Amino acid sequence: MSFKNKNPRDVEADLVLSDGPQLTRGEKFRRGLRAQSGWLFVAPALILMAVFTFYPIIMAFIHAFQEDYNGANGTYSGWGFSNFVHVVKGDLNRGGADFLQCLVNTLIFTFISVPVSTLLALLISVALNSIKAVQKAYQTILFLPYLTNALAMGAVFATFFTVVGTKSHTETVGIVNLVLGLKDNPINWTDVLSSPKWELGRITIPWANYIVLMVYEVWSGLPFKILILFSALQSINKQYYDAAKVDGASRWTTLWHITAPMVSPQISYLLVTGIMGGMKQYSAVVGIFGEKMGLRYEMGTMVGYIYNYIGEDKYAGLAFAGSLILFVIIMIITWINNKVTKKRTTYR
Amino acid sequence: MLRLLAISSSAAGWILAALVCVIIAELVVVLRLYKRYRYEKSTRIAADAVHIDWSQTQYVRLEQGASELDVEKELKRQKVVGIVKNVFVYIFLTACALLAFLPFYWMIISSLKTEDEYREAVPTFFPRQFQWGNYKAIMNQSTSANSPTFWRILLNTLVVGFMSTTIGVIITVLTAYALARMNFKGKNILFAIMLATMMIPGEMFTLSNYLTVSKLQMRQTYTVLILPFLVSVYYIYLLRNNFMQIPNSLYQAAKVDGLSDMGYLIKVMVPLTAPTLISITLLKFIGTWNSYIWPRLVNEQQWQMITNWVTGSFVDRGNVLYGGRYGDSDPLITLKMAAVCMVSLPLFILFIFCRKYIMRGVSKSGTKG
Repeated sequence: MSFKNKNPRDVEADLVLSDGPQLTRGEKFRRGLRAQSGWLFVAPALILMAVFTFYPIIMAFIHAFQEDYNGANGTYSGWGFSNFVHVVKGDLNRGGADFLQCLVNTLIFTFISVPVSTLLALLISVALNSIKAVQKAYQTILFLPYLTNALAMGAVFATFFTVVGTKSHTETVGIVNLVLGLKDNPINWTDVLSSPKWELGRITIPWANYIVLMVYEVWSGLPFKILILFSALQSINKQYYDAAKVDGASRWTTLWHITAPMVSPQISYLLVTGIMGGMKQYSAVVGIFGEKMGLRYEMGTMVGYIYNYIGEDKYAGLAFAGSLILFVIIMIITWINNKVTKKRTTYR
Repeated sequence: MLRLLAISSSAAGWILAALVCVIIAELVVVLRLYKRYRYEKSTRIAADAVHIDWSQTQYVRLEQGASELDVEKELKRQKVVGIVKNVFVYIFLTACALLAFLPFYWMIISSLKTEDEYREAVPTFFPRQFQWGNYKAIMNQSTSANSPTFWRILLNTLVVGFMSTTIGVIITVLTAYALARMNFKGKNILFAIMLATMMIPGEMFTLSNYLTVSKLQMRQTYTVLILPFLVSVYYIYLLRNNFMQIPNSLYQAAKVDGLSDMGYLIKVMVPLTAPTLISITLLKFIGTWNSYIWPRLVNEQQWQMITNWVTGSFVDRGNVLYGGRYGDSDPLITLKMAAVCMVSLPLFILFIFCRKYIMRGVSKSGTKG
């Protein structure tokens, strides 16, 4: 009997089966059952997942296609795509979030703040990599925002931008207005009503409010990006830089032609994970603009749109349809991720 | 769907079109970077060869023409340029470090100011007089008429955090062990299905789960906060990979010594993978500490968590601090900042002391907390 290339459990079973006396049927059955005892170990996880993961996924797909689905008693009038039509058209609006507004908001936040913070993280990591003295100290300070509570820190960022007091009697205009020299004519950056915005028909672009959120996003996203990029930079072979120096390449050329390609797997990885996180943006917006994401979801996000229907059983179908749309968007990003970063290997 | 968008608003359509352009541009950049990376990788050996060539040519050039004086001058110039560049790098890094730290500093000093000082036209960067009463005020009174006190909320958070962390880690260990070391029919399919659920955004579960727990009458309890988040596929995956690295010979040795599967798991596997287990425990607790949406949806204020508490508005209840100068409708920012400190500082301290473990867990997943 060969023991090579065999799992120890099989070997053990072979030993028992071949050396022992002829087994009765009952004994064989018991042995076979014991081999399946792994199911006992996974059972708790499996039961919980069945209730709170598998079942919800199936139900989400079903409810999204049930017309006039009512969450309270489970009634519906038929099958079809009307939930999706209502979501996109926004014609069942009852003073809540508008899907198109939320989609545009989410896309703008994500596709501006993620590249900006990645680029900034690259610059900071390159700078961090090029110094020797007190490198550790800078590293520690830059990593501090790594672990924060989005709702708590969002409130702190809101105080930087908020004007306290009434229009006739302003008490403090906030640091940002002071720094920008808007002391006498302050912008209330966190207020959706009075802050400057562009009206574009069905949707509005409250750009002043976007800036507040993006500043927070960049601040909170930097540590993770610096961590990944900095460790990638440290593993680059120094020979390339020596070669570039001999060639007389400028710092900028070196950055663009050597550093960027060498860390490009990490950059694309950060972009994709950042975009995926951005599509699920929720807590920071609530932290800065309050539970209603403005007054009436002017700063709403996709997730905010889904949650604004919770508790309103009449509109549960719309929430499910919205979550399915988010799911499809995230699947597309995942697919691109798999296409682009198949070979990301060096970070760790 | 595109037609619907176009009809609903032409301006919105333009914005969307512009966004699509931005997205495509960004994708192109990513693809170009990636291609260049692959190209670099394939020509790495060639580049090394070129490197030698370059140094040789320079050597030849030096021999032919350049006088020694020029070389010294050039070296001096390079040194000066290097120092100037270094100064710029340090200025840039210092500015970034200051900006990274500013919110924490602002949060702490604001929580110690009096509201009068906070609302001065020109903000002070160090409190003139420390008002510890802010902390006392938010700890001992509720934020609004029917809301719980801080102590109740802290109790909720600690009970839920402790329970979900302990049970969650036990379930994770059992499942990861079965998936890594035991043989049973359908193991690989099970693992594949579990991994596939990681791609699905959590919002899809939350909606149905909300309906489920409403039907099961589980709302306004601790159970509803604990149960849905006990199983985390990512941690199971992480721990399974760790278990797989432990050599099989240990298992055989343990079997010879008469250990059961369970005994082997507890006496050998768990101690060997302790660092990963610590990471998982910490991250699970931090996740509970930061959980916001689910407690808000399923529970009323008495049963909510600390992050729900911090989003409330804090007023000078009972006119303890300012004798009625700020009424019940005027949320005080200093009190809010004190609350924010109470929520953030434990995380801060945890991060400083357990940085290694937390980073190890998070840097592999690419998601925060």
